[in-house]
Amino acid sequence: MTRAVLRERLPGYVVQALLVALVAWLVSAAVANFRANMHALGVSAGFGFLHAQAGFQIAQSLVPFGPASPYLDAVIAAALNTLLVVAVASVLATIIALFVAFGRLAPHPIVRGASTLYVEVFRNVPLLLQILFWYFSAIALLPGVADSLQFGGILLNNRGLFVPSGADRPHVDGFDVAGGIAILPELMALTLGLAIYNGTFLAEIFRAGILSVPKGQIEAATTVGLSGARAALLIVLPQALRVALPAAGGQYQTLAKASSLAAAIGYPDIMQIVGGTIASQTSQALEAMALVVALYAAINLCIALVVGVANRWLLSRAPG
Amino acid sequence: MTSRFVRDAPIDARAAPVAAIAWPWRGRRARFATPATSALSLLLLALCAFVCVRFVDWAIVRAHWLGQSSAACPGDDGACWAFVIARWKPWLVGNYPVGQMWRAWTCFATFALFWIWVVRRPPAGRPGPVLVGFVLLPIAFLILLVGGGPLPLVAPTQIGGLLLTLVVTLATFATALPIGLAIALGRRSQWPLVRALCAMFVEGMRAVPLLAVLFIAATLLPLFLPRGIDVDLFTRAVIAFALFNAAMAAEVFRGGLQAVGRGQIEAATTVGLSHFATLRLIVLPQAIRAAVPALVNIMIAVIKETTLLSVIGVNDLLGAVEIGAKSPDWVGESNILTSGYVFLALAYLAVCYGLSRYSRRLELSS
Amino acid sequence: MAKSMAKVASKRTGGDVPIVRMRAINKWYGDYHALRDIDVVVDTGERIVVCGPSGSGKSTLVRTINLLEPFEQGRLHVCGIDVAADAITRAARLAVNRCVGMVFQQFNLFPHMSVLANLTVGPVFGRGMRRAEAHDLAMHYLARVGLTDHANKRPAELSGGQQQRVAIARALCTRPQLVLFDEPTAALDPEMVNEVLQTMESLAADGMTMIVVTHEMGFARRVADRAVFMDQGQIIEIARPDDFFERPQSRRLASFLGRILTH
Repeated sequence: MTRAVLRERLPGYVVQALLVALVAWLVSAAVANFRANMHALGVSAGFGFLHAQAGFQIAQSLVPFGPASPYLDAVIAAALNTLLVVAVASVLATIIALFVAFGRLAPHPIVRGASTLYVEVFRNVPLLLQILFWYFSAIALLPGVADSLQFGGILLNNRGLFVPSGADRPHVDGFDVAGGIAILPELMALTLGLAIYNGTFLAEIFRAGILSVPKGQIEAATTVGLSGARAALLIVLPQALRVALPAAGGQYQTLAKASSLAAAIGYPDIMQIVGGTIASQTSQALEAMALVVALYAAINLCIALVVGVANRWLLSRAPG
Repeated sequence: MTSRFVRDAPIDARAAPVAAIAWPWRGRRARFATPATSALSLLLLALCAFVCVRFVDWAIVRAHWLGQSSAACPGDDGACWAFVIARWKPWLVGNYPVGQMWRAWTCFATFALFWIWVVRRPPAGRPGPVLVGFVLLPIAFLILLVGGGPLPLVAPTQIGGLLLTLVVTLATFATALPIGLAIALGRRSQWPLVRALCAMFVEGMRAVPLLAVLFIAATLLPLFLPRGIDVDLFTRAVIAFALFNAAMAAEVFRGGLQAVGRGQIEAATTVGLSHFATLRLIVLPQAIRAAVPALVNIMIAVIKETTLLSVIGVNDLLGAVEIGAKSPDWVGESNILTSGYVFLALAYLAVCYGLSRYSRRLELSS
Repeated sequence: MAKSMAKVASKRTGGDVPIVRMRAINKWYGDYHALRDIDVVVDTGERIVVCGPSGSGKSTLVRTINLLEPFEQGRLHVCGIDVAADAITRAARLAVNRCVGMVFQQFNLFPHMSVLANLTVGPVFGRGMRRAEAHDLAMHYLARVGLTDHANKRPAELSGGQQQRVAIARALCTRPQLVLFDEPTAALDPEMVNEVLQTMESLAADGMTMIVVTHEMGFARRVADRAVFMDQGQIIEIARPDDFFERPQSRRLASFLGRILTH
């Protein structure tokens, strides 16, 4: 390395060194302030609180949980609740999106118009507003426990949807419903809002994927005797998915992050329990928010990994 | 059979024949192609008609238009537009002092004029002046609204409703764009530390929900500031918004920068342009123009994201509606809140749909 | 053997001033040895044609001369600027490009600027020329390539041949002592190749020093002072056009000529 080269690179080294110093100073100042403030508030540091008793109840938990359980169990229950709503909403959104994507490309003007109307309306109204609407307006329209709607063994009222589990059938018991599996109205509202809103974006992604399949493919399909729905399923969809998968993966990640709006209606997910209840009860906002960030980042990473595996599987099946 | 053919006289063009099938029958063939599609479309038509009739009945026929309290809207058979009309002031400007309302009107009017100017510009025009306008406007608005000096001071927390949504959207857009461009350029820098910091910032922001960032700004950020320095919630929320969307803008600019072919940068070198001259004259003009449609999409997203402010207690348009529905005058039937929600949905729908049409127009012209 | 080839006398003896001298230049792309022991001297006023099979390194050679590609070993001497392999700085690249012009296979015109702006941006912002002066210079070279009527059009409105002629004018506007052509007609439709070749031939007739990578053998025979054959990153043979095409001495050049001249 000659003097000329070094002379040219020198400003770069200097700037980067200064940058490191600046970042280090900012971080150390922030940490010092934080320590001082926490000390003044008398709040301890560290994740020891995870072993302490939670002292609150969670309305929906896939693992056993009670007020005597440790905070760690609350975190696990909240994470599972998030995964539940993300999984159900993703599946529902995908189904809606596939129908709407094909609908937007249908030759029939009414089908096309209805699909376009759906996309434009539900894409431009904010997600939070949609979730609030489903929760306060739609579910509020459901009858009270005494007048529950009944479909077979399923009970529907403004306290939720009650599904029989095996022999355990839900029935009205005073002012409440006993037996069966309870699906919270919060979960219903959140799932509906997430599925319908993200369904619009997924529909556009799938539509772009379908359009990316060269017209020659459909023409070739016709010449070998495939047409209509058969051609769509066997020829168009696999190729469309290959193109759409990366973008769709991004949309599922967006859906997972958007599930944090559960905090607005009180669904016990990561944001509501860890970022809300635990943070305020223990006053350890830093640890709680660090957990929140880490959990959402982990969920996004998992989605990215799953999409990557699916992508490689799709590519490996391609003949060329 | 001749194997050789030579045309001596050219064939002139002739007019196309009139369609063989008369009009009404052509339409019918398309509309009722197969039994399945015709059944589906009849079903959809019926559904749409049913929903429309019920909605018009609720929203117009049986709606209650006048009144000052929930007494004006008994039951839930008709929309309570009286709620919307009576609460127009807090929804429009929040708690802004009545005596200083002219400042709010000025902001609204200025923005309306600015937007009319933007939309009427030819799509192929230079985006520079528009972007500069978007940066200057929120600065001017904030100075005007908050005041200080000759103008009476108004605390930022008194700004609410649509005014808040407007100011936050503009301020976010104005800060996110320059920061985002700087970060996108930083990701292409030849200095590895700068590249790493920029990449970490963008990937970090993309991995985290916006609501979490807002929660952090609301609860955690004050703890990192030295004792005695207080930054109010409004400012902290705007900063969080700006940084989050700066990361999104950085991704958009990264795409725009990558769209400029490497060959052009080489050609710029061969005509003797330095690195910065190449950036200024060749790369940035094309990158920014390529990024504009996606930037409009970010603006649409920001408008929708402002609703999240209501969750952390900043009184935006959605928050104003909810506060209104809980106020003693109007608390009661859920129908009142629903009317507020429907009104909001229509408002956001109109604004966001209009912007998305504008974005598509820009995209098509480039 | 390589050194003696480099010393094959050039047609123009007046040019004893070498404008390009490459000594033991070696370049790697990762593990791939792209340029091997390149030794060549080009005098002022010479017209050199470089040809060879694809992947032989002809483009790489030419792009190394104006430092668009760095090299790992050897010394490069261009327009009086000395560049060693370990001293390739941005300043050196800028200095070399202020004296050497280039015409690309893909034209690489700036799409967001008019033809005239494409020509003036280099002189004005690279050399600090005044706008009026640059404007006159640009119009002069536009006339030289026969495109004055198109001065205010965008590149997208021109045909491929016209775009390439604009690119040639753009290279000339920087008043280079040497112009490099990297397969200038390879991306053109056949009917437009001729207009570009004619422009290049008239430049050659005016005494422009040029190094041209091309497959156009007719152009090489008419215009070149020397022809260079490259294969697998090495210079295989350098000769005057008659000797090059009629009496190739290396087996590889003979078989290459056999392949391309019979179809």
